[in-house]
Amino acid sequence: MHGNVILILLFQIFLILLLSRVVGMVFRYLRQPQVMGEMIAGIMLGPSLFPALSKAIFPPESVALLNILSQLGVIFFLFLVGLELDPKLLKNRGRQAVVISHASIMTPFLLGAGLTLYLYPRLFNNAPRMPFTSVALFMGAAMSITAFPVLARILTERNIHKTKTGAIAITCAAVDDVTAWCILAFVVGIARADGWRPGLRTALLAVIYIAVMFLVIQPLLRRLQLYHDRQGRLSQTIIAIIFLLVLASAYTTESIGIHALFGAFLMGAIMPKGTRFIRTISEKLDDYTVVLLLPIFFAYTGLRTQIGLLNSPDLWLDTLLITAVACVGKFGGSTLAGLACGLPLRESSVIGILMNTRGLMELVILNIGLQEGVITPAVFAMMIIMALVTTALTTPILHWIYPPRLFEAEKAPAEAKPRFSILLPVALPESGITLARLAGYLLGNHDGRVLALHLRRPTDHEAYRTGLDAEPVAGDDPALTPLLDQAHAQKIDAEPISLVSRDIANDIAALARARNVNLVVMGFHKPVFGATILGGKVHRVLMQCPTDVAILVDRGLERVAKILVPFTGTPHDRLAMELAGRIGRNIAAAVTVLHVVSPKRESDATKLHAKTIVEKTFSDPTQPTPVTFRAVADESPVDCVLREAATYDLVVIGIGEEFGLESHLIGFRPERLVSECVKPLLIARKHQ
Amino acid sequence: MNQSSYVYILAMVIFVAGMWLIIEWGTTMLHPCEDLAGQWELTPEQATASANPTRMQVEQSGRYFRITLPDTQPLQMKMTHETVVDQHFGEHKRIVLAGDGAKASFLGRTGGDLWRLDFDGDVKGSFIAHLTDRTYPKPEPATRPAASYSAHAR
Repeated sequence: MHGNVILILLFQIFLILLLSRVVGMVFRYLRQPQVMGEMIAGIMLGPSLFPALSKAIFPPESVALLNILSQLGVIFFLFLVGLELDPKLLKNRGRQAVVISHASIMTPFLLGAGLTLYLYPRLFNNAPRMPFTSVALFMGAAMSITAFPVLARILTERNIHKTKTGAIAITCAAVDDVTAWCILAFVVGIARADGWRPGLRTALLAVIYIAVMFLVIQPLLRRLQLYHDRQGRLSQTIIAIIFLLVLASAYTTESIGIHALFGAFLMGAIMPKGTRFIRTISEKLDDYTVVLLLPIFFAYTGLRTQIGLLNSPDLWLDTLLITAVACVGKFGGSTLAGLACGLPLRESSVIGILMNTRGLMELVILNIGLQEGVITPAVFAMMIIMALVTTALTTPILHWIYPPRLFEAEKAPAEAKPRFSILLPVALPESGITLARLAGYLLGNHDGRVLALHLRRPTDHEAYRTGLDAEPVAGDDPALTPLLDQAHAQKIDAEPISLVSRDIANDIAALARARNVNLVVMGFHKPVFGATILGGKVHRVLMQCPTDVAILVDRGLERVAKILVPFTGTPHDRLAMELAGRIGRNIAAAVTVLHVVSPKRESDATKLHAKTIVEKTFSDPTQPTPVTFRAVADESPVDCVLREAATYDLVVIGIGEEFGLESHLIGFRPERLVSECVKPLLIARKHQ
Repeated sequence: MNQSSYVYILAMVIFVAGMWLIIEWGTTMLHPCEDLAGQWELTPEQATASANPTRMQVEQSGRYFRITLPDTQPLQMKMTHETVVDQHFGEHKRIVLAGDGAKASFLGRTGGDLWRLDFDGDVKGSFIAHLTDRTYPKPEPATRPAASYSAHAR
């Protein structure tokens, strides 16, 4: 029997993890927060979708074990949320943020409590923990919650956390977070208290508990941090002490009549902030909590969610009403407060939309409500739907109200006068040196500049937490340091840009458009699928960029004295000639244009035509370039170029079928020219 | 004081006054539905030797019910009447549920665990219904103070 229980539990956890990762990834692909997918995965496992299957996989007697794991997960997650709460966010952000954040709590709280006047006689039982006051306060608290981690993730992904609007939204959400957990402790205290005497006792004990946490435990934690700093590592003893303190704090708050989660949150909140100590604890705890235990919490929530209980049109209308009131309260309250504080309508609406994100935090609070007997299972299901809808709406509405180009406009400094600019997206720090060198050759002493771009993918951790303090400032981004050092050595004007991106190719194109760059020069990675270097991400950049693009295949780009430009006459070849011409002029390198045709098509007319184009390209008398034109007839242009390339320092070539350089999303034959050429290769694609 | 401060004070006043009004109104004027959620044991009123007690599960959210009897599909029902029928020996209520082609009528003392249930539908008959396991258990009754007990004895 015991063996059976273990087998069932292991299978359940396996299934939960698998489904939550898969659905989470699907939602990420759909540009929704991953947490949305994980919440939906939880619902899918419950009785709402496949009741018989759910009952077979999760027999009622096994659910108790999942409950214990999920409770532990939420306790440690709330500890992490408290740990990430940075008091710096709450300080020095001005009155605007305080007013908007409090309005964003008070309005939905009031509307939620007001809605209870209508719902109470319809949807609530005459049960001991469902007196009107408890229900009204709980509904208010549930309506006013904001998912700080999800909001921070949306802001980071869209790179708007550094804008004024983003900063206000982050501050408001942080204030909401603290306030919401305090309100929840208060509501649970009221719901559990049977009469005013136990209520007073709970309040008194809560005050003593908070005083002990700040006056005794916080100084102890500072000493623990000093001990950690002296040792230089986080020993298992320190980890054990932290775990013990979290559990003791949760135990204390549960025993005195406010919920265990408040204890875990406060324990995290009083930890010394902005230190390596905190980062290490957070990293150690994060993966187990977020990857393993939180999906179990979502599954447990899903098992308790019975959408089948909403069995009449009236109940669906009530669900619609709850969702509408939640949106109006949170969105309306924040937007009006923003307007009243003098923010423009669009910015105020953005803050309203962001504050309407409820996500995981709503699930936590609803589970407490159901567990405490303050809400019924049908109300629980309605509120879960409201949480899913409000979270899912955030990204598309934000996109609609405030398209990315407007945020770009807010961030991008205005150019005094247009200059030739090159965008250098860098993935690997070491590749930055060669890219900067090449950019230097292309710019020479001209009044041009380089935009050094590092796009990093958001980490999974940020799905639940802010990760804001871990994000490098553009100038200090280690991925850009080699490039910037090289640019400095070559006296190139280089602007570092570090952004978070979920779609690298799309964001390179967006930035190229927003900053009006003339040329994008990038390296390449071998695609995950396929073998061509002009496939995968490179292909998408080539297709999406609203400007010319050049791909550098670095085979040791050092001193360049001789440049080869294979030429067949396409616009891409002409771009290749222009780029070679630029380099030639700037560093006095000799350019050879090699006109390669098959013997069948060889004629004096084609030769003459090609020569005319070349002469036209290099005709500027003020900028002479030593150029040589040669025409060759060869059955295999690729072989011809490979033979010739051996005696040059750089080959600049236009993308095209003739040379086997075609761009496909997925290709299975590597480009011969790329794989066999022993010299650096710059492959150019003209924007058409 | 600037504009933000005035907005903040105004919002606070509206919030406090609004919450006070809502709680006052709600606690005095509104009543939730009788709590019937839990596991029931049904004994046929006209007991015969072959009639065994039946289990019944009631899931309730206010006026909305899901009733599961053994070997039948759950019945989705809605409370259509909740009326006080007698006040003499404590408040007694009649609660009528209807839905899915069935009708159930509960008659019993408000807050009590023992009810008379008339069922009409796939299952027909009158039962003595005992709420054996409440979904929302009542708190344990406090010990009666000694003074009150002696006063009653006198």
